[in-house]
Amino acid sequence: MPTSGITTTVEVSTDDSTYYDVDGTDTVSEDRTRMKLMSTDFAQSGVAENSFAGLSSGNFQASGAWEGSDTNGQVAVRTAQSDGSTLYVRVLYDGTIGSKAACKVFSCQKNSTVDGRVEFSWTGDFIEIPTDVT
Amino acid sequence: MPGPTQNPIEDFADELDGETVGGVAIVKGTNLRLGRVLLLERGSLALPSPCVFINAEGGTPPRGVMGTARENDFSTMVEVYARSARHDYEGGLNFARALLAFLHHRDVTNYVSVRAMQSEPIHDDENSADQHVFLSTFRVDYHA
Repeated sequence: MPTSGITTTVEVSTDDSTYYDVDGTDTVSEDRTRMKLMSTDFAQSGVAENSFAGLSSGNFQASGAWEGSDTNGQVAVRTAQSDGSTLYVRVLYDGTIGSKAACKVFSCQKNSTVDGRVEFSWTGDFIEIPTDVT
Repeated sequence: MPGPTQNPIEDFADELDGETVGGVAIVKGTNLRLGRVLLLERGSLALPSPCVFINAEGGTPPRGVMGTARENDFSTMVEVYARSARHDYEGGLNFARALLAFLHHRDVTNYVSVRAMQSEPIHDDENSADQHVFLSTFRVDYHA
């Protein structure tokens, strides 16, 4: 059965033990990539492309409304960006099953419009291969 | 918390109750009424003039945010009707404008924002009791 985004939880932890909700989150995405390395000589005809797998990479990206009182969630993300500390990120797409990885937060943004909410978005880049949470 | 947790009509009424707006002392239950049943009827003549009526108008669907608390952003439309004395267009307009100025961007406890949806009140109609009715609509946002 398909799952609904409203059931998704985005959580962070500084110790990979106790996880806290990142409040106010509207969207989250997970991008798992692996570098594609080519081993085919140039200018060959009639030969299929040959490639092999490089290193794993990727990130979590999340956005929503800024809540300055969310000390263990949004503020922890900002702190991780400020001091370069490792932040453990866990995203459970149906509230139970999902992914987690140790991350570095290389970017977070706040955008404010006079007639809207203060938007908060951030990206956590994997520093390890993400694992499935079941 | 799924909510809705706030009652914007009651909260607007409480915000106005006891205030003097446009030279009019507003008292809930006297010249401040919830709903608009009496607004367009001849029974309106029995109420003081000018008079203000507050009515809810639905708003947009709750916007959920992720998380175990299942929180939502609620956005409700609140209608504020200013009703004049008989044949007093100007008095009604001035009262309606004062109400709009009082409520627009007002800092109301438990609400994120209160914003007028028009820059001036709308002359809604003249009721069967020859009283002019002016409408201002407010967008009211809160998080729960």
